Amino acid sequence: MVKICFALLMTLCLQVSAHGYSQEKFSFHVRQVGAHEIFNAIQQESKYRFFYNNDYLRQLGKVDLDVTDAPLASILDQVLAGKFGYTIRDGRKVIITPVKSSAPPGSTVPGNSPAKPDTAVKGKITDEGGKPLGGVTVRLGKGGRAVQTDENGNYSIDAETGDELVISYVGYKEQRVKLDGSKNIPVQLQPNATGLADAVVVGYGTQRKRDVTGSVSTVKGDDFKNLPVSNAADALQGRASGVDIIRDDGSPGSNPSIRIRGTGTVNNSDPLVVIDGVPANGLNDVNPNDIASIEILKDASSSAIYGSRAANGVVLITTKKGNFGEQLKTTISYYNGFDKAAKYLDLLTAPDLVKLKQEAYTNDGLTVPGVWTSGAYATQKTDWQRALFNTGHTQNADFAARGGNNTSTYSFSGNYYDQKGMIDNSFFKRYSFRINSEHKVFDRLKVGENIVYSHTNGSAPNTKSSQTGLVWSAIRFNPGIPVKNPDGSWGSSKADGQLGDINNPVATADEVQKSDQFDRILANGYAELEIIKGLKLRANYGYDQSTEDFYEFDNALANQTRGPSSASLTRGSGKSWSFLEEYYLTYNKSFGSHSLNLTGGYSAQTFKGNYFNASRIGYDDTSIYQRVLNLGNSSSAGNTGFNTPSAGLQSYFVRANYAFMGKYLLTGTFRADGSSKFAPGKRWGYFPAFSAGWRVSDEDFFRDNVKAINSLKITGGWGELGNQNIGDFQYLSGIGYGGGGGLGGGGYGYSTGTGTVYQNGAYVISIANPNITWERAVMTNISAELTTLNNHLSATITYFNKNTTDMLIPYQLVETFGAQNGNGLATDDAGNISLPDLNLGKINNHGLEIELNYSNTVGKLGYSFGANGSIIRNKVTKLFGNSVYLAGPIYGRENVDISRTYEGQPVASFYGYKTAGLYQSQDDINKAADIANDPNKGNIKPGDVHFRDLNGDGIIDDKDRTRLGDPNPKFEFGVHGSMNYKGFDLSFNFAGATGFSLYDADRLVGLDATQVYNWYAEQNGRWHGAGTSNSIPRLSINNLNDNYRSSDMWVKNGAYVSLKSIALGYTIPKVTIADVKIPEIRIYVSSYNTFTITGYKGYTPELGYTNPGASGPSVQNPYAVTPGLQRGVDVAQYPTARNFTIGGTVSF
Amino acid sequence: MKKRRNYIIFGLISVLTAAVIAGCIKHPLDQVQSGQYNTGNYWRNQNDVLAGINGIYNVLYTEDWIGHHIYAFDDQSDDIYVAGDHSDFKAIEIFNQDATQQLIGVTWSFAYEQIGRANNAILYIPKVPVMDDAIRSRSMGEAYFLRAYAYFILSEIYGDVPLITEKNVTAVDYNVAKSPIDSVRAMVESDLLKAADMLPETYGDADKGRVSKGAAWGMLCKLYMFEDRLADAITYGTKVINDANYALAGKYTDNFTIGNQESNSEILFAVWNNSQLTANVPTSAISQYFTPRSWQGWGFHQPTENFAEEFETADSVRKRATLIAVGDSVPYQLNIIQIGDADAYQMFTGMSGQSTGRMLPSMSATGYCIRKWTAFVSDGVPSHAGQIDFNLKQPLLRSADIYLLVAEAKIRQNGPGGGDAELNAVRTRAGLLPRSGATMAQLIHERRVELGGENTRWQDILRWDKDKLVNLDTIVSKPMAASPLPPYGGSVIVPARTFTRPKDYYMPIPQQIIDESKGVIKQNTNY
Repeated sequence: MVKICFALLMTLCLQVSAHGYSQEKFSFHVRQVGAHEIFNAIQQESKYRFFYNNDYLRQLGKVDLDVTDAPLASILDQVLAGKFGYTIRDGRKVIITPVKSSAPPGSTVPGNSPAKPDTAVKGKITDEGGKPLGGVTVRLGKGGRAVQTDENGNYSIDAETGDELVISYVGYKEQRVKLDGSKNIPVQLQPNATGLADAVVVGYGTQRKRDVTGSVSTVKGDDFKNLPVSNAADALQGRASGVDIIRDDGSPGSNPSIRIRGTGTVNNSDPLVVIDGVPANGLNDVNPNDIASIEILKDASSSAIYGSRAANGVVLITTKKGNFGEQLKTTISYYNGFDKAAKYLDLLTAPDLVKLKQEAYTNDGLTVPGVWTSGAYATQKTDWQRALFNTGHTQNADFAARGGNNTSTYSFSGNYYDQKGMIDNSFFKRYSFRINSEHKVFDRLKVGENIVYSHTNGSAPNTKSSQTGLVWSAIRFNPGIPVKNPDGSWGSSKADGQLGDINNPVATADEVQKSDQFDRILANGYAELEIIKGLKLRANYGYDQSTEDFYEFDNALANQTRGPSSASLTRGSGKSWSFLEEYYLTYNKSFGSHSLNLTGGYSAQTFKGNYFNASRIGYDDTSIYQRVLNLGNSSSAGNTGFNTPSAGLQSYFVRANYAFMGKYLLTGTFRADGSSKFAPGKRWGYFPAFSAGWRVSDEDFFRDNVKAINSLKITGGWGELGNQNIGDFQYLSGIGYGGGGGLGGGGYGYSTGTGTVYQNGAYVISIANPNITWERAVMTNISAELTTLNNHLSATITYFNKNTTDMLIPYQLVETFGAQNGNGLATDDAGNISLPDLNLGKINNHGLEIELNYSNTVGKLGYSFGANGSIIRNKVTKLFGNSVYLAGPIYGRENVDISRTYEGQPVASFYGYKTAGLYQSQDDINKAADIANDPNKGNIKPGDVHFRDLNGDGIIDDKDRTRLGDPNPKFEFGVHGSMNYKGFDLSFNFAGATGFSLYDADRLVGLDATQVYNWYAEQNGRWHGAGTSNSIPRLSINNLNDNYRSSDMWVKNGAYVSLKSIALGYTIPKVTIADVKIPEIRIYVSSYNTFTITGYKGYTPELGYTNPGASGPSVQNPYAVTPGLQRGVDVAQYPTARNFTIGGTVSF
Repeated sequence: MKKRRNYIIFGLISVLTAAVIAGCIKHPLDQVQSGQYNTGNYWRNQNDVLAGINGIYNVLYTEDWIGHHIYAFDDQSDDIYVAGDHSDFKAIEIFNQDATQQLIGVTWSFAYEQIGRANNAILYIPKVPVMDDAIRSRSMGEAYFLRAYAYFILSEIYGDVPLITEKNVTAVDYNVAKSPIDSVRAMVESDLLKAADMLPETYGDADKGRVSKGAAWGMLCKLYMFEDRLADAITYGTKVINDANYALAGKYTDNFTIGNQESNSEILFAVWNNSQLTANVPTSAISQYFTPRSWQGWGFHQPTENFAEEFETADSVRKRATLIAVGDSVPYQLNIIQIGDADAYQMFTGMSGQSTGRMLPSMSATGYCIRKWTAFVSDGVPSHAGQIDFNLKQPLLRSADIYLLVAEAKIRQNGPGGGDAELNAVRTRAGLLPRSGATMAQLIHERRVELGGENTRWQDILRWDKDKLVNLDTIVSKPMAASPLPPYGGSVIVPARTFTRPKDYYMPIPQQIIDESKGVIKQNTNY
């Protein structure tokens, strides 16, 4: 369908013969304005960029201009009034020059004497293309003497060694050069990075940074190129304020969660990711080296154009493209690195474990089990962490060819990424190919496309389960058991129940063959037609298709405690696809000092998918060549198939940007969005947003009085955004149909008849909420942006306040509708009916963001540093009242209730008992008011935990539990920098966070004396007599005081700072030696996750979500919409590895 | 001029183009749920209606509900002792119920589950465009009956409860204050009267197991007895008695024997279980709960000596069909158990170390197990040997019950002897001599032994106590005792209990319901 429509557009357009491209014309009706204001206005409305010596414009004073549809030349003639000349380079760079021959070479600024030849320093000032620049002021650092270059860019100035030259020119970065005695000092100027030309990608277009009134962070692809990560989101960590990259685990191919300005909802709070204009599901299929820039739209005004899905922010990915008129540039790069575990936990050795096990039983007056007295497991055999974690490898190769001629641009790139994790059989591979091109069919018609095909294959072991998690198992597996027995069989805990019901983690890692392959095509094609000057119609079609092929063969592990006794195979296959169509008009118009940019259009997108899987258990021949379903035991065959709920979105949007004199800026956005997730009549949401900006520094009073600040802009905005990331079709009441069931009920049907024949049945399995509708986020944003120190330092400070209302939460209806299915609320019901979400909750996030960037060049040393910080406060402001909460997952075998989300508290706060150390003596226990009336008092012994009685009834019970900590960082920051000197370059990136807590659930198990597993080495410091410890309880098998319940003993400060990446490179420039063109070569060494400074004792303080928001449905998890209601809990996740890489890039 | 015209043409074409292509994705918001039925795309035809009705019956299998747990309330009576490990059952047995106990909560929610499924059927079946009118009427009748049945149980257990009908489903309004028990019973009556109108008297072979007119009449009779509307009870009970389609089975045991249940005219309403051997089909758990542990059951309920002694000496048919005593064997019971030292009593004296398939003392704390809900697979397949046969149907309402209700109503209306005809029909079928001038006490005895283990005793006692026909205090103050034979020696299993009026007539409303309703639903008085 889309293809046909696209062809139709082409045909219709081909019948139109377009006129030649008319020269840009401008109208001005202004009196007594500075020439720079006119130039600024032209810069805003056109491709032209102005470069000039500020002194010239001062000499022009105020001018009048009254022209209609005048070409640039006639305007310049009027404004410059013959006092200065100009040249236009590359069709867009307007350089204001002294009138030819009006001044002799090396002429001085009035008041300065000519240079003496013997102490003169001479040189040529050129632009970034090597062309001479005339009229540039060259000033001495000391004394302030200054000269200007002639029309050939030459200067000559009398100067002493040790002084410095300061070269400034509007539009270029100021440069300082130390005088080291050489007499000829040529200087090449670089365009000002914070200058006017910087474009920012916004929804449905680009905007110059200086005009942006919303809150947008930009990260350039060059900042993270060749970083050994599979996912570009990893590379964003610490690089933009207000953007929290949450790594859920360190397994290969894992996708971190992105949170923009806090956790905006208890539902899916992932931001919308838009890749080259196509809203796409996640970042993991994009080669980070293909990315030109990532724009993060944070506030309501900038993201409102994506209103329907923008409540959690928008991440815009722009991939690299060729340029018109650019020669072919080919780049090939390769890197190879290795990964090692950054940290190991200290665990008990076999002899110590045996000693402490004996103590535990003896303390309770119990017989010590034979396994701990026989000496069979008293010899240290295996360090299971080191047995499980090997050396991982990451290699990456990619090539890109980009360029263009006058009518076409092209970019072709390919990538191979291969990561083998530290744990056997954990891996992630990606092959991707991308073609981006654009063609001018006529002057008025452009067509183009972005196509990427990627194939990924990955497997990550389960490291979040406290039954079978591999890392969890390695920490707990008895160190007296060998990896393999002398007969070659896997070491096993089966010999004795005291060794724990865990499988040998190395055996599990080695005997599971698993892969999850995805083939994805993300393609979009567009056409842009300029109907009349300034009015463009653009059509954009996108298609995103992903197919999944899942394979898992679990070999039998008959000698292991948990088996499995038979081998099993699971195969799954799925497909999901999405269509996008968009049409929008943009209109640019300037009249006088007013300029207007209108964007308006239509967008529609649909999503569909289906999945099935099949499995068999029981394989006689488990050889790798016979692992097909047909060879499994047919009586064990199981299969399921389903469609993922289809969904559609439809939107109309309009945005107006208005600027007056280039310094008063207004943006208004309005979007009407329909979502199929809601009932007809409740589908449409209307989302307005407004913002305004004032470029204070463009005001004369500011320009004249505040010299220290080069530019200052103040912006503010307000807007409403929508979120519909919730379960589908909740406005309908679902009906279960079929057979199934078993002893005690279940299933759907009933048996009847004298022969008792079973017949299918049907009944309601979910209650409808016919009124379900959009979640809304209302956001206010105030920001100031300034540059100072001659534009070397730029700073942005922003305050935001975001209130999510109508938040959809699973609501507890009164159970008179039937028998409720457990749905995440605190309920132990085992009924049939799911409840819908209701638009009830509210959540607030507010905070402050600061971004600083400093860049400068001193001689041959160029350097830039950036820092950003975000202070964010998160609070659920309304749920159902303060007695009901949203439950996080219950941890493991101990059923520890760790995370609860209550009204009035941050999302996923930790929950449990307060403690006051350990009881040191029986006297302490007798006197303790906390347990004065506790019926369990007699069971409490010295060395047990002193739990606090918060409600004052002298009894420790459930009512004494309270909030113990907040896993959401209150302050997150990043510091990054880069330096280059001659051919060397160095870059680094730190990320850190503070003001949050972590919950070390793994340590809770690691110290739990009732656990039959191995324990943490800390257990050596347990209480074993008054004063021996106040934090690690006595060893007790009976544990009558329940020492290991959820309490503040396991809640730790999570503050950390981590060197995420550092790279040192050397570039050999492109040279031609005897007709042989030697390409530019850069070689580098780098490290990722180099070190972390933290007081937290687990593997890593970056723990992420233990039930992450789903990245979309899959074969294994078809209806994955679980919100992230547990964060910062250490369940022995796959730890992040420390990586060292060496690589090189060759550019032709 | 030419330029301007070109612009106009250009613009028009562009607008046209946009208009043509604007529909590339047709109606993006009109997404249809596929692979999943909902109330919008279901209820299309007769098959949907039949499955929708099956879906109501399906809840009867539920372990937490009719499929077993509802029987735990009968353990408050003097007949049966709770032997399992459910602490809430044990607490309820000694009138120590509280609002947070699981049994209190699940009974509530599954009663409303049955009501909810019936409400949906009542709401949607009339809207099905084309279907057989007889089946439409029958299906509506089944839905009304099943809704009434759930409300009747709610009124027995909790007294006043919220009335949720199809109107509440439409409005998604479930937070409704309690209605007085009289209104609940009026709703039950109204539904049963509709059901009696709409249901057929009998079914063909394929539909046996569905509720009939007789079931509705029977339930009306029972309802009226709870309302002390004796004349109405007689009217509707007599309809059952006079209808040959609901005649008593030839043998008492036919009601509890696989193969003799399906076409049994006496069974007015039963959970129509299917064998677990055939497929993964749902079945009630009653056999699992009542069969002794050593015989692959869970052995939750054990009859008391008090109950065993109630049987007349001549009443061996009913006693043997109701109770398993030490040394008894059951057909196809092939689990062979070693006789332990503690078992070497009664007929096993001196047999320690030998093996047997008979009931051993260690299988019950009272010396007895319930027989009615135990059957074993008889297909002769070696791997099935000794497995519980879940094909056993679970009767919920039998004509014999109605005969005795009518007899009771007549005795209460006309004095001793008034119910002789109905009472004697039941007695003679059991192989006993008829009575003449039967009194209320004799009627009470007859109900106890005829319906033992069928979850009627406790509700009878409560009903009679309210009418001052029995004194509940004397019943519960008598300790529950085990068999006088060794090794039990008549030991007291449950000591004397205290019944508090009016509190213990009804269970508390589940605390969760009280909390969720935010004050709309009030706790029962005295809790």
